[in-house]
Formats: sequence, C-alpha cells, structure tokens
Amino acid sequence: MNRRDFLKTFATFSTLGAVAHFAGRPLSAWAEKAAPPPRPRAKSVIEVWVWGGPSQLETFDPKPGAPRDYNGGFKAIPTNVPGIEISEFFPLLAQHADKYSLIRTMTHPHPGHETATYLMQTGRNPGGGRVFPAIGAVIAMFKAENYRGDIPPYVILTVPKGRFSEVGFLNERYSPLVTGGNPAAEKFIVDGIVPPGGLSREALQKRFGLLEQLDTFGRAAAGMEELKRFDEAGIGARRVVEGDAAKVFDLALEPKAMRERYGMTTLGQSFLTARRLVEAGVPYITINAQGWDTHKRHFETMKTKAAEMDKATSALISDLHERGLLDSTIIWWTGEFGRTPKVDWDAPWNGGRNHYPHCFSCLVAGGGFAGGKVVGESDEFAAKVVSRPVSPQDMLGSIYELCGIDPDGKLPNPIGLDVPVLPPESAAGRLRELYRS
Amino acid sequence: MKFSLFLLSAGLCSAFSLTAAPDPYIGYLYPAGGRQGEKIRVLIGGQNLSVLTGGIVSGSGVTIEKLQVVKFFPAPAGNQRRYLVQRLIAVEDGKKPPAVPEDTDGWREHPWWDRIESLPQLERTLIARDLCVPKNALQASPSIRQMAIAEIAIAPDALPGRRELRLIRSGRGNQAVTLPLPFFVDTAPQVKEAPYTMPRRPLPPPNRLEQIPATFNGQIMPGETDTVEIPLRQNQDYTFILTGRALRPFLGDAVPGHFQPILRLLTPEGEEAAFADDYLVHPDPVMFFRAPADGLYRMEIRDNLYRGREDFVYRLQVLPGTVPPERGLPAQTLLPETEASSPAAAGLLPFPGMIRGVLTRPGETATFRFSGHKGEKVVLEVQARRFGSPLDSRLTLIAPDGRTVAENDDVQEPLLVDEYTQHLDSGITCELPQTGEYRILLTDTEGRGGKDYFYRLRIDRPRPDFQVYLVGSGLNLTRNTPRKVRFLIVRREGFSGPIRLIIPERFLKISGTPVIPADCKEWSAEILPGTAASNTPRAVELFAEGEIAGKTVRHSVIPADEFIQAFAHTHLLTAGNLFTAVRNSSKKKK
Repeated sequence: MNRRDFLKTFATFSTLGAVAHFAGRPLSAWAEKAAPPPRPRAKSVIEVWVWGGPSQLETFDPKPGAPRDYNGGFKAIPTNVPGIEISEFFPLLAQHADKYSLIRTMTHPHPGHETATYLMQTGRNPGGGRVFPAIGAVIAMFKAENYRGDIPPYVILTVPKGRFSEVGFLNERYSPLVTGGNPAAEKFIVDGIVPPGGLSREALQKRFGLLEQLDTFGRAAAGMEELKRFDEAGIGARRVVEGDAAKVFDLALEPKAMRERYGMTTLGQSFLTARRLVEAGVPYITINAQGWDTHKRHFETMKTKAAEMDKATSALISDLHERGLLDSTIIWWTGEFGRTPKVDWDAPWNGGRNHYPHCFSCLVAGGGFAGGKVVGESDEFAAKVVSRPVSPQDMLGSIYELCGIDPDGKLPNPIGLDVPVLPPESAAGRLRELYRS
Repeated sequence: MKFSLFLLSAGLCSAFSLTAAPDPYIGYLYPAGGRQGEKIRVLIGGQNLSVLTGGIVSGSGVTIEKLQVVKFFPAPAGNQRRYLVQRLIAVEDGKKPPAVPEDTDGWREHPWWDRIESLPQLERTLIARDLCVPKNALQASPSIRQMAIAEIAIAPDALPGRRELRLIRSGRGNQAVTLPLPFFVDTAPQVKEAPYTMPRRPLPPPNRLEQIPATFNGQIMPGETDTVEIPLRQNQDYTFILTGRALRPFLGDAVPGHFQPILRLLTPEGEEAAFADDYLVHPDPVMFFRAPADGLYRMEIRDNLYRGREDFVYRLQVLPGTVPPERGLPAQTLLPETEASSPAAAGLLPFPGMIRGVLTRPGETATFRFSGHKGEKVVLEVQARRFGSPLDSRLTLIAPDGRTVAENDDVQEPLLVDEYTQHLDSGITCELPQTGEYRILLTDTEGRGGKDYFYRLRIDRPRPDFQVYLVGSGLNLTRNTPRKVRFLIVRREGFSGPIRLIIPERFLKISGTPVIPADCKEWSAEILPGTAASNTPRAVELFAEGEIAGKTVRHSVIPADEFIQAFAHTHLLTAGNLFTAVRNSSKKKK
C-alpha cells in the first residue's frame, strides 16, 4: 500500500468512526448491520402456523424450575444438542435439535388474534388504509419469476387463516391456493385441482371435450387479444388438473412407512404434502395447524395436540435433511403469540392459559438458518425478555434475506405504491446470529 | 356488613372423602332476585357443585333454606328418551303415564326419571331441556354446566336492594366458599319467563305482566328473543330498567364478549315504538316511554348479537313514571364545593376546592378561575365517568399570561375496577409556572353535552393517599398450608411509603412481616388460617395503614375478584366482604 492509499483508507475509517460515534452506536454494531446480506439459499419456505398461539413453556422455552402454577408440573427434556432443552411434550423433536434453532424472545404488544396475526405475517400494524400482503404472498411474488411450476406459488394446507386478505394489495395471482380437503383421507381432494369422487382421467378428458364442443363463444372469439389471458388461465388450469402437477397431492404415491412416519392425521399428512410441494419447487407453503388457543384445560389439550405436532415436525425436518433439501428450505414454526405464563386454574379456565405476546417462542430450520442454537433469553417464568428481543419484522426480514429478498427494498405492487418490503428492522436487528456462513 | 349463613343438615351433604376437592364455582343465579315476603326456587349453574351444603347472603332477611345439587343427566337410550318425553307430556296434559316398553336394554338411570310425575315444574323443565335441546357445543361452557336448586326465603322486611350470595361447602373438613353473585331483593311482584316448551307442544300463553310495577325475570338461551306483554295506559309514562350485564359484568369465555342486552318495545299493532340498548354509558338498557294509546304492548329482550347462554340472565323492572336509575356524584366533605351554575362560580374559586356542574349543551366549555402562586403544585381532577356520567372530559390549564400550561383528556388508572372500564376521566398534575389568575377549561372530548353530563372538578394540592385491594374475595384455605395471595396497591398523588396490613391474626396470619414495601404496587404474601379459625366460613376484615404527612391513615383493604374480558384486559370486581373458609389438611387416598 502506498502513502496515498494509506491516507485514503485512514480517512475512510476515520469518517466511518465519526459517523458511528455521532450516531450513538459502536462501530462494530454499525458495521454488523451494514454487512452484506447472507447468501440466499432458500428456494422454498414452509410456514407452520400454530393457530391460536402455542404456549412457550410447553414447547420451546420450558421452565422446569418454576412453580407448578407456571409449568403445570411438566418438565424439560434434553435434546441432542448439549445445553438445549425443550418441553417434554416434544420428545421426537428433541432428537433433531442440531437441525433447528429456537427463538425464545419473540415479542410484540398485541394480544388479539387478528392484530397479532396480521403483524406476524406482514411486519406491520393494521390500519392506515392499506392491507399489506402476508409473507407468503410476498415470497410468491418475488419467486414467481423463476418458478415454472403449474401449482400456484403459494399453497395453504388445508384451511385459510381467515383473519385478513393474505394477498393484500398485491395482484390476485399471488393469493394462496387453499387446498381444502383432507390429506389423510383415502383421496386428497384439492379444490379446483383434484376432481372429487371417483372421476378418472379419461372421464375428465371427456368432460373437457364436451365443454369444448359447447363453447361456441370460445371458438368464435379464438385469437382475440382481449381474451388471451383468460385463455392462458384456462389452459394452465387444465394442465394442472389433467397433467402430472396434481400428482403432488396424491399421497398414495408415498410408501406407507413414510406416511406413517409423519402420522396418519390431517396434520401429519399436511406436513408430508408440504415436503412434496417443496420437491415440486413451490416457493411458499403454509400449514395452518388449528386448535392451539388453549384458554381452557390447556394441559389436556396439549397432550393430544403436541403429540401429533411433534411427530409431524420431526418427520418433516429429518425427511428434508435426508433428501438434501433442508439447506434450501426454510421451516418457520410459530403462532401469533404465546400464552400467559401463569396458569389460570380457576373456573371457567380450569387450568388454561390466555394470550401472551410479550415473550414467546418459535422455531426456524433450514434454508440458511443454522441449527442447534438458541436466540434470546427469557426470565424464570418465560414472561419477560431478558435479552435479545426479536420483533416480527426482524423475523420476517431474516426469512426474506435468506430468500434473496431485500427487506429494505421496494415492494413492487400493481397500484403504484411506494412502500418498502418491510419497515426498518428494530434496534436488536435481524437474526444474523443464525445465518449460516 | 351482616350476612346470613345457612348450613344445612347431613341429609343434603353428599358423602365426600377428606381429599381436597376442587373449589366450587357458581356462574349464574336464575332468577337473580325475588320479592319481599316470598319463597323462591333459584336455579344455580356452576361447576364442582356436588358437595355444596349451604349458602351465605349478605345483609339480613334472606335465607337459603334448602340446597339440592342436580345430578348430571346421562345420555338416555333412544327409546328411553322417547319414553321419558311421553311421560313429561302426559304430566302436562294431566293424563296417565305411558307404560314402560318391554325393551329396556341399555337404559340409564337418574333419580328424577323414576318420579317425573311428582317433580316440581322446575325439575321437569330441566329434564325436558336436557332431553330435547340439541347440545350446542359452541356455546356450552363446562364451567356453568352443573346445576343446583336453592330455595330462598326473603323476609317481608328484608331491605330491598342488591345483596351478595355465595354458596359454601362445609362439613367433613372440606370447607370452601364461592365467589359472590348479585341477588336482588325487590318490592314489586315477580314474573318469571315461561318454562321451556318441548318441540311440537302447544306454546304456553305469552308472558304477561298483570300489573305495574313488576319485575320480569328471564334467561336468554342461544338465538332466543324473550317477549313479555305489558298493559300500558295512554299518556302514562313508564320506565323499563333491565339488569343483565350487571349480574355478570365480565364473562371472559363468552366470545365475543359479555351479555349485551337490548330492549325493543312494540305497539299492540306490532310496530316498533321504542328501542334501547344501553343507558348513558351503561350497557344495560333503560327505556323511558310514554304510551300513545291504551293497549297490550310487547317488550322484546335479547342479546344484541343473538347469542345466548345459561348465564345470560336478566331482570326487567317495569315502573310507573320516569324513574332514572340512580347515578350521580356521591356526597363529599373533603373540600368546599361550588355549584358551577351559581354566581360564585363566575369568580375566583377557592383553591383548594371542588366545583360541581353539568355540561348542559353540546360543544359547551366550562371555564373556571383560581388564583395560584409560582411553584405551587396543583392537582386538577375530573370525577365524571367513574360515577356514570357520559362525559368524556378534556381539561386545559391556562396560565395568567395566556399560555397553555397543560392539557389532558385521559388519566391512565393503574387498575380497572368495577364499572370504570376505560380511562376517561381527565386530570392534570403540575407545578404552577407563574403567580396569578389561572383558567381551567373543561369540555367533552367529542363535543357532546346534555343534562346527564354531570361532573365534579377538584382543584387541589396533591393529597397523597393509597388503596389496597386483595385479589380474591373468597379465600379457601387449608390448615397448615400457606396460600399465596396478591395485594394490588393504588398509590396516588405522591404516596410512596410502606403500608402496614392489619390482620385479625386469630383468623388469618401472614407469613413474614405484613408490610407492603415502599413504592410497591403489587405484593404477594402467603397466608394461613389463624389459631381461632374454625371450619365455619366467616367474613374477615383487613385494614391497611400508612403514614401520610406525619399522620397514620387507615383504610379497609377492599376484597376484589379478578376477571378477564376479551382475553386482553383484566378487571377487578369489588365485593362487599372477604370470606374465608378453612379446610383440614388433605389426606391422600390409599
């Protein structure tokens, strides 16, 4: 380095230092946030939406040392990562802790389902006259350019959240395909894709043939530019129904042992379907797991709910890992909030937990998230964040970055809005400590 | 406050082990009141009622003479159900009961099913409802599913008004007392809603009040609209006061919220004559009506959203004349009080002092003046919404030089207590920046006003004070086993000192020093029964003392029960008494 270069470098760093000083932050932190985004690894995201808000104490932030009024008498169990314990309700997941990481200090101020769901899905508070799109629609939009599959880029298994319009102000083509149906049934009837009943492919083709014969308008208007999009949509829909794309929902093609590994329940088979959708290249899949709003008799409900969730989630993580797909698939397991740390034993709750957004847990795996780590520390009751709070926009921003989407960039939209993908990250920042190098 | 404690004989006690049973809980009383001089049968819904033995009613003159727990109805076999329904119909029609069919395989038993013909109406109604009403799982709440029937005697000279009723379990060392529910002693004749009618049966005559005043008692089940016919006379004024939400202000598990009763009055021709869904800021409706013509009018009562549950119980008082429910500012002797409408209010007000008035017109701003000195601390406090005024006040303090010193429209109360569910009374606490004449502007935040918009404005120096609440008005204790309790402390206007709890140690003991530390707003302690605490439930009074300006100030500790509403807000409902029940130490089953 010559003297001129040295002086140039010295001046640069001095300026940086001065800016950092007057901005009130140590240079290291400033440099950390100014670090380039991670290498985008994730091609797909599987969101496990634990509807109603799962208790942090009976999932990933157990407090075995707390009184029974807090932990209900339930314990923590070790995982295959020394030093990390999770609730005894998840013994199977405990065997795969090296593949996922836990965030124990998710926090926001909203205890209502609708507002909290909107915040967790969009990174924004409701109001202001706009309905922002949920993360699924955003990722579907950004990934659509490179996605050539016939299945829509955003799929929900099997019922919608119903709390708000998930596509928001984005184009309708990014709204989710909600499958309906029951993947654990003999035939998984997906709305608009898998014909109901025993309709064979031949019978279906005959029906399409009949439709063509009756479509005198279509024949008369053939080639009209105004109907080109309509025609393309029809051709695309028919390709999905008649072609091989719909086979992704045909779980009979899976070995019985594999199906049983996930659990022969609607939830378990939804997880298996999600894996197949990832294999088909679908960018965003949500599994809406209902029934976790355990205001009453929480522990009784947990005994059944947790067992099937444990089986399904551990099967998904391990299966994706074995197939070499975990590195390119983010799994994000969360609800809209957690549950009150102190159990309400009195009537009408009879051992229930109510809503609690101030400190709750979620799980991330794959897609560039490291495994075997814990982010954040809560107090002895899992009631307060002691260190490293994580806001919804930080969580969403981390997922976006690993998908190659700039959270601070513009959110393209068809109505000309000038909005960023997300609001600025919080002071605590995105989950950079979990990014794999 | 006095109370009538009634413990019943062993015939009504169920055999029960000495293991600690879960505490009983009561969710509703139906009807929720009765008339002086009458004996009534009250249906009680709750859980863990199996071993109730009696009850306590505050005040005197109201006694629970008999208490019977209703055994759960098993699901009958198909042909058994049909047979039971036919027996009920035979009783209604005064006919011979049907013969028992030959095939009774799988038939279940219930002590009432064997003697339907000899049962009172209430018991037959419960059987009929259980057999015929589809179980609507979405609205069923296990916490009120179990039932008991209480026979309550109201003395002719029992003072009318609101009482607190609790049920107790006693005997065999397993004492427990429930939370209180309101029970009203009335002077007017009582009419109860017609009992449930089984499908395809002739409908009973419409509910009707034969005279006014009268009180109609009802219960809104899912999707129901109750109706009652009321004879009204032309050009007469009437007042209809419904008490519904006030019976259970907070129902945390009634999604989307508590009972929201509405009243709809129809003319004899069926036209809507009047509608009410609240009264000022109170969710229970009050209707004032002048009848345009003689006739039999019909009043409809339902939930605003057509919901219903067993605990959607109501009382509808029908009164002659225009009789607004009692609301208003309680009397005070703390400070000299000036009427806002008086000539004195136009001049300089006493400081400290109170001013009492009404914002009679929409958009009105009341202006007051007082003289203050630079550096003086002043507290301006509006008392309006907390006493039921619809006024949502806004205060502005203006200095002698015309600058605004401070503005406020809501003071965040540390606790939500009783009916005060929103922080709508305004207040300003500040140091006066100048010496001279100050102006206070008082208005409604939304520019409303009217004859009901009463207020009291306190202009004062800070008066440090405190109030202590004990969470849980029914303490069920076990001998030699500490129980954790919470005290919530409201500290006002600079009071930060420690607070001594004065506890009758013969009946209650606190582990450790019974002193709430300075600045503490929530304090937990462990309590135990005292040496003289017997197994008989009793009322206990606690006091709290603090030092304020060199003097010892003593207040009663207020017992209150905590309720959740909308899963996000916690409210305290104060109770008239703190009751304790002491059970013996539990013994494990072998």
